[in-house]
Amino acid sequence: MKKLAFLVGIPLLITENVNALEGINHIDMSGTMVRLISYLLGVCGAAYLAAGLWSRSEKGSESWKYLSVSMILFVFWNIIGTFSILLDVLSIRKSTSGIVISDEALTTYIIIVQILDPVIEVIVFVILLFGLRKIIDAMRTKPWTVFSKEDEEEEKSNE
Amino acid sequence: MNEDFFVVLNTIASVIVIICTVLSFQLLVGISRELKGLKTMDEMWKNFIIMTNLFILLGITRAVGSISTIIFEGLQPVFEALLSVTLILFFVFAIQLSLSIEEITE
Repeated sequence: MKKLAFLVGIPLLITENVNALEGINHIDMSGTMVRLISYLLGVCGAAYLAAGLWSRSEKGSESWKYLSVSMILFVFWNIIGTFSILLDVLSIRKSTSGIVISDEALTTYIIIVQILDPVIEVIVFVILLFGLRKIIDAMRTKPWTVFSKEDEEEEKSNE
Repeated sequence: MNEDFFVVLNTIASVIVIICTVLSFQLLVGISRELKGLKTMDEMWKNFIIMTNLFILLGITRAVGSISTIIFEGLQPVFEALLSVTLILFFVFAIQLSLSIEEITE
């Protein structure tokens, strides 16, 4: 029972601290934390999936490689999203918490993030589109090549 | 840099992303139709379709969010919350998909 109370108490304590921070710094800290955690989870999931798809492409159709590249770029997109959140918090808290960073440097970082964010977003979804097109082409013409490379090589040697 | 530049950049990027996601969704529908011909649908393909749908949803949410934020800034927290929820769901299904891919590879 004590353990249960302790486990329930931890999130309550965190929430309390976050609310206290919110009061001090005038930032929606709980929302920011959720966004930060979701971006970090996105990085983990996409990196793991990219590795899985890459290993699949080495043993099967090359079309999986497109999806893997798309996922790798998605990791970068999430990292940029994380940086943009951190820069937002930094620019708001700079005056109150005494962090030493020049305005010019901060503005430059924000501009780089704002330019890279939509550019990478577009590249991710264009590559995803090509990857899906390659997969469906392979499924319609030679469905056995989607998963195995050996049959494809055998076919080439027969020709 | 000029603020208008970012507005134009975001709008163009969002329009391209919306077009790409709609076309990707059509291709995904095609893939699921191809899979319907099979007697048993593999667990990997199920996870693949769910994950890709979530990925497409993520792109559309982000694109629509950035366009609507230009028009009305009050909508930004709503789209940010939606994006966070979709990202968390994407994480779950990405892990499931990579686990089922690993099973097939082994």
